[in-house]
Amino acid sequence: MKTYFKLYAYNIPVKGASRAAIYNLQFKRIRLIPVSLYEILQETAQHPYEEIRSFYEGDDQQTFDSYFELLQAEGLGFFTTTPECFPKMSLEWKYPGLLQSCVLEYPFIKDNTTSLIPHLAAMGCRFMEVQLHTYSAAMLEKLLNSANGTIFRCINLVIDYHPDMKEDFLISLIDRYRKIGKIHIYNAPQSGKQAGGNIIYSVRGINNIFPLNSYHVNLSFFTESLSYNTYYNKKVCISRNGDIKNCLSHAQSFGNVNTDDIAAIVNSKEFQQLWHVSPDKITDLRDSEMRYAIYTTAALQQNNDGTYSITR
Amino acid sequence: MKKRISIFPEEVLEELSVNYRYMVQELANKQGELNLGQRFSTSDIHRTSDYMTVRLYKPISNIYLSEKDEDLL
Repeated sequence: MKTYFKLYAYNIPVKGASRAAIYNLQFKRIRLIPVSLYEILQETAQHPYEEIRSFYEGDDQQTFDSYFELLQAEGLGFFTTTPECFPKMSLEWKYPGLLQSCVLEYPFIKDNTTSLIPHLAAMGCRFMEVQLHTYSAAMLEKLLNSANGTIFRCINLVIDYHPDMKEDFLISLIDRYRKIGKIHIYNAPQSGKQAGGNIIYSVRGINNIFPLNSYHVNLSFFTESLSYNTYYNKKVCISRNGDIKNCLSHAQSFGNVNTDDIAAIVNSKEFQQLWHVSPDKITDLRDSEMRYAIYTTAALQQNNDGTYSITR
Repeated sequence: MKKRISIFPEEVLEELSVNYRYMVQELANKQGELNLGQRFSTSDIHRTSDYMTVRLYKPISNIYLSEKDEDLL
């Protein structure tokens, strides 16, 4: 009976230019491996282990053996005589809605956020970030009230510190409005966490508080990265004067919530163009074995050959 | 070595076999698989008041703090 070596279904090997990686999507970590091991794993996925091993002799065979000892020791794979019993996991990414998330810069010049929220909810948007640059308790309550009973699953608040801001009030907001995820206060007099980490104070300003890139290893992020851009996909941003954008830092606006139909804009091909720019289409990322874990917020520029580059 | 604190009071432990001294208490929300069901809101369209509040698996915007960053604030 022939023996095969299989990686567990949640371990996905990814090849880079000079290194490869095994994405462990269950334990949410990455194991870097040599490209040679990646190529061996492609072979052992289809052919019996001993058949592939017989191609190597002497030191090469010792290295070959050590690779598989390592994979087993780290719990990444196993030997089996019935490989057909272990099918690959589906790597399809689906989302039940036109929009997944939205970023609102609040308050708008025209205060129409409350009428906007039902439109966003109707498009299936479930995650919201509200950037509040002018603090007002009444304004916050009005906004959160309008989201009550909608399909939003989590609302994060990013608020500029104001001396009138009372921590008891913020804690009571978290208690009363159960859709609140976290409250970030920037430009605070001192850094720290309150309310079990749900309120985060930072002395830094909004522009230098957060990293340009971050890494995320999980099944949803990985499968989305295979076909879409994880930063832009199914997201709409609305600036404080109502401009509808892919990202608040972009100059390009596709319309204005005060005058245009947001659903028509989000449905347009032009607005969705960046959604489909997966890491494989970005020249700066496509050779990296970490490309399906990186969350890059940098602006993208289209090249003549249809690929994209990161603009610095 | 860190001293292990039992979840049982000493008078109860005296009545139990020694292995009960090694039982420790851990918060359910610190366990990956149990880190759910902490907060619930309502959703009219789903006709439920047990609509679980969950965070997205990625940052929503470029404003993102990792757990490590939060510790460095």
